[in-house]
Amino acid sequence: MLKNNKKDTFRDDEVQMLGTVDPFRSRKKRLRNWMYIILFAVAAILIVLGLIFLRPGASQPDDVEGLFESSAEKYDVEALGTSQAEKAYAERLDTIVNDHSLIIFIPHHAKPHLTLGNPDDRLRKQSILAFQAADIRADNKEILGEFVLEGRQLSQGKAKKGYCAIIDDKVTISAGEKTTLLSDAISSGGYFFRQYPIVYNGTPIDNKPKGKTIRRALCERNGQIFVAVSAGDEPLNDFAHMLATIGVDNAIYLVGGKDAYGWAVDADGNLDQFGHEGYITLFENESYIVWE
Amino acid sequence: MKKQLFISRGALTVYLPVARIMYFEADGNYTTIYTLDGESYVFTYQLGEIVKMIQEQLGKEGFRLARVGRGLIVNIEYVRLIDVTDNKLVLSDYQGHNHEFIASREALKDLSLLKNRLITEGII
Repeated sequence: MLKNNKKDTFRDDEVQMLGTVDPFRSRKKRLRNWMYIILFAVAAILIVLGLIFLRPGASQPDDVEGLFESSAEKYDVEALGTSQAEKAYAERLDTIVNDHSLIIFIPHHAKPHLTLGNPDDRLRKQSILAFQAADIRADNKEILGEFVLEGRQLSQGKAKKGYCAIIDDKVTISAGEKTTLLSDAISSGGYFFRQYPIVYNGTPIDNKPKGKTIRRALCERNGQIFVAVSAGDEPLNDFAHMLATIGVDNAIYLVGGKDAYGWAVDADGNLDQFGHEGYITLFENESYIVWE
Repeated sequence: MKKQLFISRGALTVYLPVARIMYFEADGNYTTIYTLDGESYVFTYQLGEIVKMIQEQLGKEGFRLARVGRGLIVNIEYVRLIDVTDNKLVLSDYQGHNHEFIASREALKDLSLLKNRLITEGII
C-alpha cells in the first residue's frame, strides 16, 4: 500500500510513460498548425485562380469522398428518396478484407452518445445503432478505465490506452495515457471511455487478447466514424490488420464476442440485433455507444 | 533536458537531472535510484510515490522516463536492448556499464514500441 493508502494497481505487464503531456500529441499539434497554415494558403491561391480563370457554368471539381460516402449517397437516393434524406439509419456494408468477412455499420443523420445499464425501451426505439463500449472489471464489476457520462466522471484508470471522446456530438478516437479530451468531455457535458487501441495513425497495434472471437471496433477513417464487426471469429491482431488494410486511421476495440449485445436499424426500419436474443444485461455498469 | 528531480530523505535531498537518471528499482517499501555515474540512493518511497513525484516535478519532461511493470522505472534513452523472447531488458550508459532486468513480454513489447516512436518522431 502507498503511504496515501491508495493501492498501486500497476501490473507487471504494463508500461507507462511518465510525462504529464503526450509528446506525440504536442508534436502533432505543431504539425497540424502548420498544415492548417499551408492548407489556408493553398485554398486562398485556388480561390484567386478560380475567380480569374473559371467561366460561369464551368464544371466544378468533385469533392473528395470518404470511403463509404458514395455508397451512402446511393443508398439515400434509392432507398429513402429526397424527402426522407434526414431520417436516421444505419447503413450496413459487407466486404472481404484479407480473405476474411467484415461488416461495417455507418450511422447516418444520428447523434452519438454513451449510455449506462440495460437499454430501456425509449433507447431501443430511438437508436439506430448501439454497441457495448467499455469493459467491466472482472474483480469488482466496475467500469474499466476512465469513463465520463454527460460530463460526470464515473470511473478512473488508464489500463487501456485507447479512448473515445464524444464532445458536441463529435466522436474522437485516439490513444494515449493523457488527453485533454477527458477534461473537455467533463466540462462540456460530453462522454469518454477507454478501450484497447487497435489502429493508431493507420498502424495496427498489437494487444493482449489472443483468442479468436467476434471482434468489434469503433473506427475513424478520414474523419468518418463507423463500427466494424468481424463476420467470424478472429484474433484481435488479425482484426487490427484488417482495419488498417481498409485505411482506418484510428480504431479502438468495442466489447466483442457472440454475447455482446447491440443492434442496428436500416433505412427501412429493419432491426438487426446481435448477441443474445431477449437480452437482459448482467451488470449495471455495462455501457453502450449509441447513435439516435 | 534541463529539468531536475529532487527527492528528500530526512535532512538529505538529492537533485537529479533527468539525463543523469538511469533507472529506479523498487524493493517493497524502498526505491533505489541509480544514476549514470554509478551512484545509487535508497529512499523509503514506494515506486508509485516516485511516479507521482516525477509527474508533478518534471511535467512533460517526464516522458523520458517509463514505468515498466510494478518494480522498475527506466530512462528510455538508456534502453540498449529489448529481447521479448527472453524477457530481457538491458540498460547501458554506452560506456561499458550494462544493467540487465527481467520483464514481462507484453511490457517489453510496449516499451519497444514506445522507444521506437520517440525515435522516429525525433523526440529523443
